[in-house]
Amino acid sequence: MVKKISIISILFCFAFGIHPQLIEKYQNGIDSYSNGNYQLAIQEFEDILKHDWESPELYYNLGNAYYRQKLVSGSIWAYEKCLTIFPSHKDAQYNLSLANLNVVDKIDLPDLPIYLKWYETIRNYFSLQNWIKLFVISLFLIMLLMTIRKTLYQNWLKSIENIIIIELILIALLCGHSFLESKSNSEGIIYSPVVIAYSEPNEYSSKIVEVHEGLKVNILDNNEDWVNLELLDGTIGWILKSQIREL
Amino acid sequence: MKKLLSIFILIAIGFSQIQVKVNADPKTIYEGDAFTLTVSAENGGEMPNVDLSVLRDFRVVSGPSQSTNMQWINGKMTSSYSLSWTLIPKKVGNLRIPILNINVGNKSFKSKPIKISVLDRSKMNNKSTANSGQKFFIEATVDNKSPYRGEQVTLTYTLYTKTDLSGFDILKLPRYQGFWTQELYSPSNLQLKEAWRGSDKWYASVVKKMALFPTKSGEIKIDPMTAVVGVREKGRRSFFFSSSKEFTIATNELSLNVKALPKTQAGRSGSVGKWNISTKIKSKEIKQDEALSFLITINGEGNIKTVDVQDINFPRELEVFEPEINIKQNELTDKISGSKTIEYILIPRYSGKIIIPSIKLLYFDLGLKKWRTKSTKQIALDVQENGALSSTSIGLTKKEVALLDKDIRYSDESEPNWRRINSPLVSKLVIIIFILSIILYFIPGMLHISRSRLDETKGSRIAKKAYKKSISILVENGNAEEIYSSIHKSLNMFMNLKLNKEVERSSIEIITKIQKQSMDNNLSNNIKEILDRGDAVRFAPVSNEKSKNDIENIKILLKELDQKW
Repeated sequence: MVKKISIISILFCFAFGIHPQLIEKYQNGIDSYSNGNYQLAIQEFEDILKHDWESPELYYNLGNAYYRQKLVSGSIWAYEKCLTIFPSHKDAQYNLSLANLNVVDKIDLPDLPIYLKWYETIRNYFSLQNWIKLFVISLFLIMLLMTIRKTLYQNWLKSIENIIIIELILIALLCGHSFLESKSNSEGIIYSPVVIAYSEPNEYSSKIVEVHEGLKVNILDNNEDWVNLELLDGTIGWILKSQIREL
Repeated sequence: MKKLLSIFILIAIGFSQIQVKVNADPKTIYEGDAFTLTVSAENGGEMPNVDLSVLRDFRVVSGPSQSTNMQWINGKMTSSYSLSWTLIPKKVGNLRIPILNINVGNKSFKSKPIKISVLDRSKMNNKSTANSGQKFFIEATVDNKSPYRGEQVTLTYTLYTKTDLSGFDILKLPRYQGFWTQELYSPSNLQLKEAWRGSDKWYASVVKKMALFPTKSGEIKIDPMTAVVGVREKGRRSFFFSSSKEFTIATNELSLNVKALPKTQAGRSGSVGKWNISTKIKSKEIKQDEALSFLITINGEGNIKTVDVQDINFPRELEVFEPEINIKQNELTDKISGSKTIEYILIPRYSGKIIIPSIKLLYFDLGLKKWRTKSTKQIALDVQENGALSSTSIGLTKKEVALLDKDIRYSDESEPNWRRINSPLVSKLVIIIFILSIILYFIPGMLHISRSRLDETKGSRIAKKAYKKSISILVENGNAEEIYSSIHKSLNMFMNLKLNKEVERSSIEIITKIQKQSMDNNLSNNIKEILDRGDAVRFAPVSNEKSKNDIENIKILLKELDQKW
């Protein structure tokens, strides 16, 4: 079975361009994980990431390996990463909520109103890339229907076309929202056990807040060594770049 | 004369010999007894400067004390400056005070070595000569010379004396490096009791007791303690004061061989001793959000201050406050023992059954010589609902609490969908579909244009054939009526083909159309003339010649019209 998978994957990789060696690394990582050698699994998975290839499954398994190694920040980072590509990954959502239990800082946010919750649920059903794909596919569909209607004089198609146009507008708004959000918000996970945020990008300025590993924060600004971050409750401070891993 | 005298005095001072003396007193002592080392310089005019760092076998207990003495003897001034130290030998045997470098002013001198013989206290009973000199000493003893690391060792300092002592003062306690210490007993007054050492009768008093807990394994040395003893001098008593002389004495040095503890299975370690552990809770039935006192009691023998239970994992449903720790130590015992209570205040934040886990205490049992774990029974709390909303002060929601103790889901072994990191938001596929849909958008419009274009080209092809077609239907051989009607038909057909229409026109309509299209009055007039003759042919007969001529004319006119159209 495994052999079959690897043969298929090697064939796949020729089609998509991933190096067979990386596929082997991935398989090696999975095997090490099931043998309990989590350290090696982490190493193999991170190595694939270093070669600029990613996949939601890889992030999910990396998260599991980090979790088993009791590296909370790593596991949260990997699960979050998995969910940015594949927001409806149920297992990753579940494991992320487990990993988040180990985060020291808990910032409580008020519950969203129900319509916003629905909206967010729908929006998080696909990643932005998939929403864009969906948008283009429905655009294509409309054009196809219109062409058929105009050339073959099938006027009954008009109603279907209208439904798709409404859908298209909704998707466009959704895409716009997601796109603006992804442009303005880059996020990161605190990676060091205890991090002190300063008011300016140097260690002499006053300390604002102490945060602990695993916390998800917004990154507002970046300079060479320092990162300006915003906590979910609105607190803003500077921390060293090495203390955070960007999502 | 005065001048001469002053020169003499200067010479007398300048050339008087500087004498440096080094003296030790007494030169024969017992182990732990002190002696005085005196360095004096005569005629030097200032204090001698001595480097005592070369004294390896002796310890400086006090000093230096300075004294100055000036005398005029026979008109000569002698000055004497001296420094003295109290020294205690570090070992037994024939020791030597080595050559000392002494600086007086700019001059340096070297002393002669001095022999000091230190006698062993344990052999003193056999030596009758030493008996008289040895009147008192202090001894340091331990109850166990090879304890385990963390096991208590009791160190006792005992003063032995044969004479009447007026005072006793501890001068310097060692630093007890490598031990965790606690004082057990330190009397304010000497309580002398009879004690026999061999055949000698002594009066002994415990002056200090210490509990030592070795913090490392291997050989650890306990440095000597020094003390000052005041001895009443006989025969010199006055009514009010009893004169006394002070002596500095030191104890023997001790060394312990501390055994390492065997390794525990879990790799953790605990304390050493004999312990019992118990837990107590007021009531097992409480209400949600009500405070609850949870008491852990450890009692037994050992280092009570450092003994501690292993980490307690309280369930998350309980809010746990920092514990209050009380230590009660049993007094007046040589082995440190007592009880330690750890009181936790717990507040259950959720109703239902909450289990306080069993508390574990890992310790090295000295009796059994191995690690033991004592544990308590776990306690099940029955928490009644408060009625109020559950508080979130733990920072966990009910949903999150439900997740506790759950494990993560297993790895995903499905075939991964690989993609490049930072792959663009808009993939090539998206762009292709987008372009395709734009193309699709223009398809109906283009179809329409092409169809009308097609129609147009078809008409012009027909129009081009209009002249030939219309010529072909002209009847050349026939009566005039037939000829003229064929001319009319032919013109009508020409027009229909040119305009891509299918209509019957009257002669007037044909003429006006021709006039419009060709803009040539001459041409239209000529055609009008022929058509008029045709209209009139039924009423006014036209000769064959004339009609034939008209046929030829209309051919030329049609050609002309075709060109001008």
